[in-house]
Amino acid sequence: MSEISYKSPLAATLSGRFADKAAIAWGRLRDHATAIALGLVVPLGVLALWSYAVQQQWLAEQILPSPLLVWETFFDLLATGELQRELLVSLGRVVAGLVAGGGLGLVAGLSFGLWRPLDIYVSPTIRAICLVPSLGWLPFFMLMFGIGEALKIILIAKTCFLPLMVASYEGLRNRPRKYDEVAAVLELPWATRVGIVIWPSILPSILTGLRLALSKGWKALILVEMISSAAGIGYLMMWGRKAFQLDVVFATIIVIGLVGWLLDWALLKSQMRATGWSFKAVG
Amino acid sequence: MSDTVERPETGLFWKALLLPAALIALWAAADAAGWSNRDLFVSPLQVVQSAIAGFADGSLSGATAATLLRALAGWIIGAGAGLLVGTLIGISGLARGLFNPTINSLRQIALFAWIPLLSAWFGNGETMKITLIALGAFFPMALGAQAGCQNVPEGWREVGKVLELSRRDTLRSIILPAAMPSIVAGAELSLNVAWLGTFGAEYLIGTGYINGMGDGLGAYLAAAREYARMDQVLLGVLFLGLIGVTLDRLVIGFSRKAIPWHRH
Amino acid sequence: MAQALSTRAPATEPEIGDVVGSVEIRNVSKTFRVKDREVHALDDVSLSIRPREFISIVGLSGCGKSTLLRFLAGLDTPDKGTITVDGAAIAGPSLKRGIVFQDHRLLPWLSVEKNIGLALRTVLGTAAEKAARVAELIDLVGLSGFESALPHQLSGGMSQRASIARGLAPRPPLLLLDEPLGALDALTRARLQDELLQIWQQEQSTVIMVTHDVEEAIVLSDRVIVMQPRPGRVRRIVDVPGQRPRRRSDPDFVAARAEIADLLET
Ligand SMILES: Nc1ncnc2c1ncn2[C@@H]1O[C@H](COP(=O)(O)OP(=O)(O)OP(=O)(O)O)[C@@H](O)[C@H]1O
Ligand SMILES: [Mg+2]
Repeated sequence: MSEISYKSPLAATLSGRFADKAAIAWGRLRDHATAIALGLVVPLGVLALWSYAVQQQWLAEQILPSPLLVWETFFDLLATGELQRELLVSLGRVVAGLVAGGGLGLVAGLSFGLWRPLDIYVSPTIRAICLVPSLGWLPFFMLMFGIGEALKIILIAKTCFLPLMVASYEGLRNRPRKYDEVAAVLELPWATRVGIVIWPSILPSILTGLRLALSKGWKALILVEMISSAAGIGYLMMWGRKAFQLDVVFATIIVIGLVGWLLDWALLKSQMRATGWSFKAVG
Repeated sequence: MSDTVERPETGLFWKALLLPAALIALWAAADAAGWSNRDLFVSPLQVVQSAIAGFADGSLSGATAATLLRALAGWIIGAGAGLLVGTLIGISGLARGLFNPTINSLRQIALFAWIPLLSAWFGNGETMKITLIALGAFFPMALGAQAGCQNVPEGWREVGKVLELSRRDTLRSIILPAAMPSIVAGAELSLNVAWLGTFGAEYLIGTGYINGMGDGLGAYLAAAREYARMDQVLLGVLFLGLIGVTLDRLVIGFSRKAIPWHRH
Repeated sequence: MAQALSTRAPATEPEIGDVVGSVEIRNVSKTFRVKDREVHALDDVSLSIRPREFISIVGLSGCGKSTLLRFLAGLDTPDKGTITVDGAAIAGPSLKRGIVFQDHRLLPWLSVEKNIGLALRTVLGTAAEKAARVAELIDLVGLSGFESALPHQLSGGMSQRASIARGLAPRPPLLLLDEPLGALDALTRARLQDELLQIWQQEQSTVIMVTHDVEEAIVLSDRVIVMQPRPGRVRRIVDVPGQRPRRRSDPDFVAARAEIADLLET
């Protein structure tokens, strides 16, 4: 047992380090707890006011359902599988639109950024078309493509096109020129330049564009589904409104927010990973 | 400054117009040759005629004015509140802890998803629309102001410390100017959302899916689609775009004035 | 009129006339952690500075000169050791310890005039007095005609001069200069060295200046602190002999320069 009780200077510093880390971890835990407690003050206050308002019948039950009812409805929707079904429909539409529109946007942005004549003759027209928000095109698309599945995908694609076009274009144009100069001075070959200087410097911009596209696409989808659809989460919400079941409306609003947040969070995570990689590539 | 060097607008302007001109010519030719589906493809001339008609009877100009006013009113309310709240959250740790999680959660909800709820509470009138627009305008502005106030480079804060500036002076001379680019970006985005939100609300209500019609460009377009009037649809879309661009230009011009030290 | 404005704003603070910037630095250490790596920026540095002394600090890049000045300015605190100014511990930044940053740190949204004026915001005095002080300083650093220019319209050296003017504006009894003349051409530099000496004598302030220019250190200071990096320590304190103005050809000057250059090289 003597080996264990014997404290070498190294072991002493190690245990010191450990104590340090424990203290830091404890401090972090406490900070988190404080943050959560603070952050809960407002929502809990609102919830309390809401319950009180329902209890006092300030508003009709139809207009303001009780929080409990919303909670129950949410689980009902989950249990019957209705929520998952509608959500899946919506997500499928977003992904299809994002892939089609975002891919085109990326290609367009890179070609405008790399080939000047295209930028001079074509891009102003595309930009002008994009200046009308995609929702503005909705009536036009409805006349052109009817109100079927194609309408939704095309509208989302149109929505996702612009952010990626702008992101890749601006990423190409606005990347710091000083690194170009460094590369030129170092006489790096073309391939190395693209790989080490250009690509990493536009990647963050493109990923940001992707996040923007996804969040815009999701939001646009909700509106189309509210206006013309027989499926999807937006439809479910609209159905709740028309049937004056505001508990359904509340539940779907929360789901819409949650899904939007999750999508963005997932992309942000991968963006961080990718951007970390790109920093390593630069260094 | 570098902008004017890189993009001499006068020379490029005509080149930029070539493609649209060609497209319109093609469109007119296709129409003249009778290739197109008469119901959907109206001639450019028809669009111009309905524009004139729209202005003559005031339907188009009235709709545009209504939308514009509504968007601006909602924007001023929402962005004003956003600026206040964002600045507060940006400079006060306590306020950040209290409100940031709530704001960040609410921000995730798509703007139009509020419509069913708001319409149940406020009806389909002006109150509901302005509330919706203000709600949409609030978040980008609050976010911009917060990010700006929070990300003031430490070096500039230190200048305030060594010069012993009061809290008010620090806010006025250091934090707000340093945050200005971010605030302006927030205002720009916020106006954009307000404009879009106005149109969306008008359109959604105008489609009659929620009882009642309303006015504005959104309602104009909804009606045009209902009666399959492609000329009016195109006209409405064109106006929507034109005014959106004009608003954007105005804000950008203003932001150049507001932050002359900032490179655009 | 030199006394028209001063930093004697709050009545509770000690009067500036009583004590003028004596500094005691005792066993000061500072370690920065950068990604699991420890940088010993300062290690057991002790130094006492008498009132009205002109001190220069020289040393290789990264030996902790700026870090030491930041402690004195109250922008950062040492891990170990104490620093007192006029017998009192430093509680935070104060106008009585003016600092001119290594990077000029002019606020990009304020004109030269307003940047300098910012230093007088909390100082007693009328607007006219303050304006006069600002004008006087602009003249002193040779920026007349650029009063309303924004920092991005200035050259590096001009920005540096504006920043010096801002540091001087409240007449701090202890003036901390971090390579204030680094970005200047030889002529302007020599002129501003003279100005600095004059200001120092006129204001009776204590000056601590970081510089990379050994000759500049000898021309200006009473003592030159030679520091060494990794870990940052005081290598030697060189007393500069002889009356000012000092000539570069004096044997004393040459000897001091040789001594310091030798210390820096090895
Ligand atoms: N905030 C910080 N975080 C991490 N390391 C720091 C920080 N400030 C200083 N250091 C480190 O401390 C050491 C001393 O820095 P300091 O700026 O004091 O050097 P210096 O003597 O002023 O150098 P120079 O002559 O180049 O200005 C450096 O190795 C630097 O990397
Ligand atoms: Mg330094």
